[in-house]
Amino acid sequence: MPRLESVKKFMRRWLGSVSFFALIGLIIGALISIPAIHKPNIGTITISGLIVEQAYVDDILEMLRYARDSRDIKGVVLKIDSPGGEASAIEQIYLDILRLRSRKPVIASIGARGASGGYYIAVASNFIYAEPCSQLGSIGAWTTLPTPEELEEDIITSGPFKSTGGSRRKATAELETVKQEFALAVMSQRGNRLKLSEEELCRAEIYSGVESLKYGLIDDIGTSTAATEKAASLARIKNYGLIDINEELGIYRPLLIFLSMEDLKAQTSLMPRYYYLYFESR
Amino acid sequence: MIRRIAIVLIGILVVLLGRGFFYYSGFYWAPHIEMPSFEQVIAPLEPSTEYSDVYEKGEGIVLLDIAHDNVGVEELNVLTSRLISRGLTIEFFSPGDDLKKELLGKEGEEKEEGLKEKPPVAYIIVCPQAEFPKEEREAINTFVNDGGKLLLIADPTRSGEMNSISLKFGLIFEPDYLYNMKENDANFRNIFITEFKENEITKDLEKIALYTAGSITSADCTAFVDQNTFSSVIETRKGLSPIALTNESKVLAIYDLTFMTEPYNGILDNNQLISNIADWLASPAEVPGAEAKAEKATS
Repeated sequence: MPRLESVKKFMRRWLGSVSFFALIGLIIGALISIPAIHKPNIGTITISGLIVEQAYVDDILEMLRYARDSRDIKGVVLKIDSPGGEASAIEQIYLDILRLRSRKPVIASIGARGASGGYYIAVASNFIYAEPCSQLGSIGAWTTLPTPEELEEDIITSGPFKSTGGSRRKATAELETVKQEFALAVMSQRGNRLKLSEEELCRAEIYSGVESLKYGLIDDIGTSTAATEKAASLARIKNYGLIDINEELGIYRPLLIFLSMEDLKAQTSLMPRYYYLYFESR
Repeated sequence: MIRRIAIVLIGILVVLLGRGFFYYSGFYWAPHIEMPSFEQVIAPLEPSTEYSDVYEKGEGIVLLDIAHDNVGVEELNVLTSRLISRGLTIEFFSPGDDLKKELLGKEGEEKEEGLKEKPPVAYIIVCPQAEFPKEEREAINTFVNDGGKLLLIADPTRSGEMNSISLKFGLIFEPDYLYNMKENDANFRNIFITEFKENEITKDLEKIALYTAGSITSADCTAFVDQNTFSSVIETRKGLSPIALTNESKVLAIYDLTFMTEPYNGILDNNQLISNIADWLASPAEVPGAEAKAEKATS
């Protein structure tokens, strides 16, 4: 009996000791893990309307920077519904998405329209979803040729192209290079997935979501829900939350939603401006 | 003591791993990002070619239409300077003028007062935006029938009323533009033409460049696009043409204005084409039965 008692005492002492220290370990583990291992999130960024105002471009770049720097955001969904905008603005966004993609998966979810510059932005992502009737494509650019300057007695320039930037013929050639840049961006990002030749791309046709899938302009048909799941899958996260980055940073739609041909003409100055923009000319 | 520390560490690890596995199943490995190679981007432009105009002196009046909301006269400087250098006089048909009186000389309408002593040898209509009334259309038909030359220049970027004149001569300016995605002068709308039917308009032409040209439907087309050039509208026809010379070489229709403006006139053989047009306008027309008509008038 005394022998049994001593075994019980020994077990109690040891078990008590293991439970106690294990509990301590678990508590410390919990205290460490909560700040160390955050709940992962998928960030959503909504890019809509016309992208011509630099203020809106800055907002989009700010959202991309936030997504890149945030430890809690492990993947990003770009909700795109845009006909594009000014070429340099689109290129800024495209290059920043590529930077973001080098750290976190970026999935594009195209709504009603991801045309021209809207599509240019989407191709920077890892994977593109669109809806069956989304409007995509329109790979190309616009410009208005420089208008001859009206000479004034009191205003002079130091060179013949100081106010126009160059001749109309040069502007035409530049438009061609802008178009080629767009096509190159699409071809380099879509790679073997693309089933259209450069010449076919440059026809600047609009394709439906279903057609776009057939031609490899997108990867699958789906909504932002599918895009979120894909982002989580590529980021290899489970039990994640969602962060609306627009709401987080208080950034909403641009003031300018639609631009007509007349608006475009009114915006142009002597120097040509280039647009990755889809709109019907009449 | 070591055992106790180990237990604590295991406890910590269990929590960390548990939380980690609850949220993560691995890490994101960014795929290689292919940057577009922008150095590939090139936009070759056809260089301007040197051209020296060789011509024979002629004489006569060329009537230039400015009465139908046409293009500014300065846009035709290249053509008009070639006409002047060939000894031709440019006169304008302005708003308020009577086309019948301007076009048909006394020879044509002897009884009427106010007709010109010497009628023009050619009438040029460029991108008319206003309609031609019936009397004007009839005067133009009579002028061409009497041996006058008619140059019709339209441009798809300035749609107008040209067909109301051209239809009478079997010419239709189609509501389209021609484009080539494979070979062009920096833009798909800037097409090259290398196939010509031999006549005075296409003399010494090897390759011309047109800048947003449209297609003309006619039985007498004289310059044809290649197999990679298409119409923005017509899908069922091949061998489209933006230039036609018809009515016994008295009516010339061209569906592009830009090629004859600076600096586009200097590209490829465009200057040669403009000179050919000027030579054609300056040379007398061969009108069947004109001699008989002249004899009748003398007797």
